[in-house]
Amino acid sequence: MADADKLAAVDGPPSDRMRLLGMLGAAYAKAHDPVGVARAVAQINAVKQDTPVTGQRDPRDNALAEIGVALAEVGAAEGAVALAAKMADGYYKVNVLSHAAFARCANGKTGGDDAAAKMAGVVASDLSPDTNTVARTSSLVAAAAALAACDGPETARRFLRENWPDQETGQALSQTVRVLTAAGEVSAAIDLAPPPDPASPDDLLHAAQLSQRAGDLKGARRLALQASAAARKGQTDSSQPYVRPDRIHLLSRISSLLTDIGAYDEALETMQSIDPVNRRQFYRRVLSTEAERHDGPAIERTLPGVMKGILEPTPAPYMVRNDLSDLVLTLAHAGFRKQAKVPFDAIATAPSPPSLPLADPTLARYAAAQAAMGDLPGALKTASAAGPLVAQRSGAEKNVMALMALALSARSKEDLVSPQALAMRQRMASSFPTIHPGPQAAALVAIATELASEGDVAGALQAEAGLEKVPGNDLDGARDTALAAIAAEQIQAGQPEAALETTLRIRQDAARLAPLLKLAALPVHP
Amino acid sequence: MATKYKMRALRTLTLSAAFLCASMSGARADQPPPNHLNWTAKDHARAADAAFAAVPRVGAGTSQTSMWVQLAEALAKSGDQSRSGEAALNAGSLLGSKSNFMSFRPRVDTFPRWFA
Repeated sequence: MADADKLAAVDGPPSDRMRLLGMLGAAYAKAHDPVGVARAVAQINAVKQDTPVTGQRDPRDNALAEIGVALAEVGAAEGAVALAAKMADGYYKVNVLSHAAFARCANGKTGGDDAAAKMAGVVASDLSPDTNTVARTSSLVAAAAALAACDGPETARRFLRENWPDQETGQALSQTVRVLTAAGEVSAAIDLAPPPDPASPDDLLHAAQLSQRAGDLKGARRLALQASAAARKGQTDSSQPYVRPDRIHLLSRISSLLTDIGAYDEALETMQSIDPVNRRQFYRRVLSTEAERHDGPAIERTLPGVMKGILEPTPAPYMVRNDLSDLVLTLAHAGFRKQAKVPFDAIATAPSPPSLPLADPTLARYAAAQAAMGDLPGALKTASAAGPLVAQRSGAEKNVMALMALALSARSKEDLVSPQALAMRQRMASSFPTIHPGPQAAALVAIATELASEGDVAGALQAEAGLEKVPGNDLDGARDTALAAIAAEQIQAGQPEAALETTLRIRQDAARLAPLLKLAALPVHP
Repeated sequence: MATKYKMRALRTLTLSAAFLCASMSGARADQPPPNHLNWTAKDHARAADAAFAAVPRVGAGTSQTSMWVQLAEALAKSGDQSRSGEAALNAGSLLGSKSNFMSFRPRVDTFPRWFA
């Protein structure tokens, strides 16, 4: 422990030192070390400020509050209250008291009328209206949240009415509900929350989220469906899908909540009003959640609709095949190989990518899908047919890559056409290596990582062996990625000795470090 | 060295030092049951040696500091206090490296679970 204290004892501006000590004290509080907490508090109090700052911006109270909140969060409410008693009246003190109140009133421990909540209310309402407005309103909200958690919604509403200008009480209530939700006081938040505006999808979604957090899935589903309907109400012409990002984002949040609570059909229905390209990700998300939960009946029910959505034509030539391969991987991975056969068979009839003088970018994922379906020989054959193991970039390819990199980072048209941009593009193009892993290497890595993640280490090593055929370091990146995935699986499977041998074959230090950190954390058996 | 970089570095290191102290002194109640019964002291030493050799060759400055801290945390979990301290000191010796100190935060959020 002394080392930590020594690290905190550094020269620096007093406000930074106090902040640092506050973080150290909070860390001790979370480690349930009262001696460390007491020492950090004493050190904070001993720091001398050249120009003392008091009141709302007092760094000493800020640091003490960090410790107080941490104490309350680990259940040491009495310690938090005792610390608050040493702080000046202001937001920091109210915040510590309200967290102490949450800790004491959780699950009806005090039966209401909690002293910490009351004290928070008194301190907040006594703050002068001249006090920095943000600090005062935050104090009132924190105190109201404490009162709501301990004494119920009526006390909190009365407190806000008495201390907040009338016209803003609704806003104060919403803020208080959010503070309660963030603190995990969900049932108090629900009791306090004003009824959602039936025309506001945001309000309805927030209410649905509260119900979900409280475990009321039926209520959450009802409110989310109302939110979904309200969000789509403005769509006058159903043949014109939504493309506005804010609308897609709102519908996506509603759809995610419905997915989370297992209302998969409704989640998909919600996304029908957005454009087909953006909609595709939601088909994958729903199916992936069903697979993670091993919900076979849900998969059987939604798979036909998902397939229909995924097979819709898109302007991007590779999207359909890649999405189908992803569905195969998702389903096979969760053990639904029979269902995975549906998207797998569809790959054969999916539109072929256009013929370009480039390797087919869908082949690596397709090879991984074949491996996931148990056809390792077929997957290796696909990899061989994908193209060379090692490829060379032409000067023209390097130029295109440099131009794309520049275009992505450009802030204006001038950034792309200036003489400096031309020089930068040339420099960048010449820095790209000519030799690089080819399409066959990409497919072998995809097969190896897929099989490793399924626990088939032997199969993964067989695919990785294909990457050892080229002498030199040109394939280091590819083989190290495969080996790191295999080592991770070996650690997971309780074979650390084998994992260590695999890890030591990794040539690049950056790729080697992740499995080494996992291995270094394992306790030794005598 | 600029004070602000020093303070940021110390913030990282102070938290990690607190983490290490805590992890060394307490019980790890929710650690998963070990399923690697043949992992010997010799294996551990080989893994630790390889990690100690890899860190200085990966990144520089802040990113290397963060890697030393991660290694120190990993070794503390294994119960190897001596090498954990060594890694933490290596992190400390990099004080003064510039930029991007905030990119790594030790996982103080794991404290309560470890000591539940």
